[in-house]
Amino acid sequence: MSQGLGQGGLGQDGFRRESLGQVFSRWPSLASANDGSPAADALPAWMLSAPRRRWPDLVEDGTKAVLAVLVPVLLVGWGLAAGPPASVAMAGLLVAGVLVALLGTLHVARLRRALRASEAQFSAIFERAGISMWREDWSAVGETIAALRLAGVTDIEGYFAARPSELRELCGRVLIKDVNAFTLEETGAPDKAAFVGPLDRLLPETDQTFVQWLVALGRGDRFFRSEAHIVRADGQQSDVLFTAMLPRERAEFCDLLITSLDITAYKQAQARLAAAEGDLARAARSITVGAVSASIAHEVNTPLAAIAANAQASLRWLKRPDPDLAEVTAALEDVVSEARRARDVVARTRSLFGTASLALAPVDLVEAAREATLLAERDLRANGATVLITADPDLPPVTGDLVQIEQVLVNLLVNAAQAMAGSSGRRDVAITVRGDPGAVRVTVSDTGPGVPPEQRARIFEPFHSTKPGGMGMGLAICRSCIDAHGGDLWLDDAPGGGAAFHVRVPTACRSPA
Amino acid sequence: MPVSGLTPRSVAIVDDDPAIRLALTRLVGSLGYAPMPFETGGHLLAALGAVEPGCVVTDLQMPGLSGLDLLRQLRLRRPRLRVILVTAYPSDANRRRALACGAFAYLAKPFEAEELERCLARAFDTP
Repeated sequence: MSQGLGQGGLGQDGFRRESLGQVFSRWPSLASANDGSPAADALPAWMLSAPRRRWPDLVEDGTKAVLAVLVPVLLVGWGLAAGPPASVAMAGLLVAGVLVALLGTLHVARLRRALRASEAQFSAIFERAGISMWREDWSAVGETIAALRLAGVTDIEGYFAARPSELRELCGRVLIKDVNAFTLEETGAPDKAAFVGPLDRLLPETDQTFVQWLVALGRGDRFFRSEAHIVRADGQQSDVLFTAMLPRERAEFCDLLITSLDITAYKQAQARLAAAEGDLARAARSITVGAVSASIAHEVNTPLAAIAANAQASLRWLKRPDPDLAEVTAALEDVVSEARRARDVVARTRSLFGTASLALAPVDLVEAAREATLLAERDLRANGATVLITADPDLPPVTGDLVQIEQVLVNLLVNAAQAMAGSSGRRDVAITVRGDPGAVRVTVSDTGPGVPPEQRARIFEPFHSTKPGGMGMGLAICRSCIDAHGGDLWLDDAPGGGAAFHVRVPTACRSPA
Repeated sequence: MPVSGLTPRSVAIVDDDPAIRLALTRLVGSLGYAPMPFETGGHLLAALGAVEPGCVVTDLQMPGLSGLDLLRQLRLRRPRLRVILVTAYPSDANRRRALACGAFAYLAKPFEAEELERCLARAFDTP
């Protein structure tokens, strides 16, 4: 069974499980979770009962009108039948009845005027507001969530992770009814038709935000916001921050008011910053690697030079008519000791990059997978990949270096996304986090072409690359990183035919070698 | 005719690493030259006058006086003395710098005995 990833607060292990979902960028996000999730008894009424037709509302107005006409008519009829004295009294009552009906009609007219004024005011506020506002019909979502809750489904995200087409269909049943003038102004859209219609026309297949709204609704949140990447019918793309007060009554689902903030420039600046940071990190890495390899070369070349010189001197002495065996022996002894020196240099180099440099701490692999997804967001989106995360409940933390484990997962996610870039079908990356005896295993599987069996043995070797221009170090580094944790990294077939990479990290601390 | 004229076919070897110094001393000896090992460039400069090597084989990276520093000093005091620079830290930049300073040859460690033999032969036999 998959775990609801949106549970906030501290787990039994004292491990922090972040409230999920609203954060979709690697930099401090504009989207944020609302504070404190409500207790179960604070769930809104719409979720706790089956939908009912509201007869009282329907009957109320009709009853009043029927009584206002029917009572005077009955009284007059009765007066005529009873004779003259009663007729006078009845005539009085008739007049009174007519007056009541007249006043009632006037009252209704006044109410209608007030309603029209109120509607005009709402319309003016909606149209003239200096922020983009959308009116959407989420009735289908309200009914679906309420039905799921009544059926005992509490893990909304897990439910839909297993049913992606159902999720997409539900997204298509959310209707954008109207957008205000500022929306057109801000986006440069020709008319409202660019927006009005089913929501799935705007959200690309790779969208990961819609399901988070369902999770928030299922949690009974009062308010929610999330970043989303939208693609309009005319091809225009933008990043927006959607915010809405969530319905407290079932009736409110048919008219959700959502504000939208265009954060395209902000996201582009973020992307530029991230790219610059990546370039800088790469440059720093290559400088470091250059300096380190030069220093290693110096350390290794020195004993090699001594070995070569001693060996060659020995050969020359041996070739003389009267070989100086004492000199040859001394030189060969130095050859042996210099070979030991070279071996020690190699051993020191290995320990430099071994477990000694791991910053070990308890690591929540579910959280690490989620963070890695955010870090790889741009590559995933660029390759049109959708990520689905499922996890066993109550997984223990593993002992590891969070940054290194995240880096391994980012590497696997980017590889998965790139592997599917050329495929025409669905591009799903499934991350599953499962408990193994004494360990936790993260599996990253894709729906790409998979890895041919003849390449599997070599794929983890250094300098073996299947990508044009690739250095072939990614998976080699990943494996040595997981090895240093006392874990395993291996590859097999994903159920759908793609590749499945498994990262297994032990829960217990392994003392660094 | 030998270059220095005073100590024919003698080769000064300057390297701070004792293992290399000893190995080079043996190799140079096995090639038929008279090796003169020095731990630092300073020691060689101090000994000049008392000894006059026909050629110098020096390491490039050394603490204190580097191989290039030694080369520059020798160019001033013994302009015709041939200096061969060896390094375990080979790079094009180092090679350019060494040759620009007037080095006779530049060898990357580890090198073949024949390479050193050819260099020494050229150093002694070229006028």
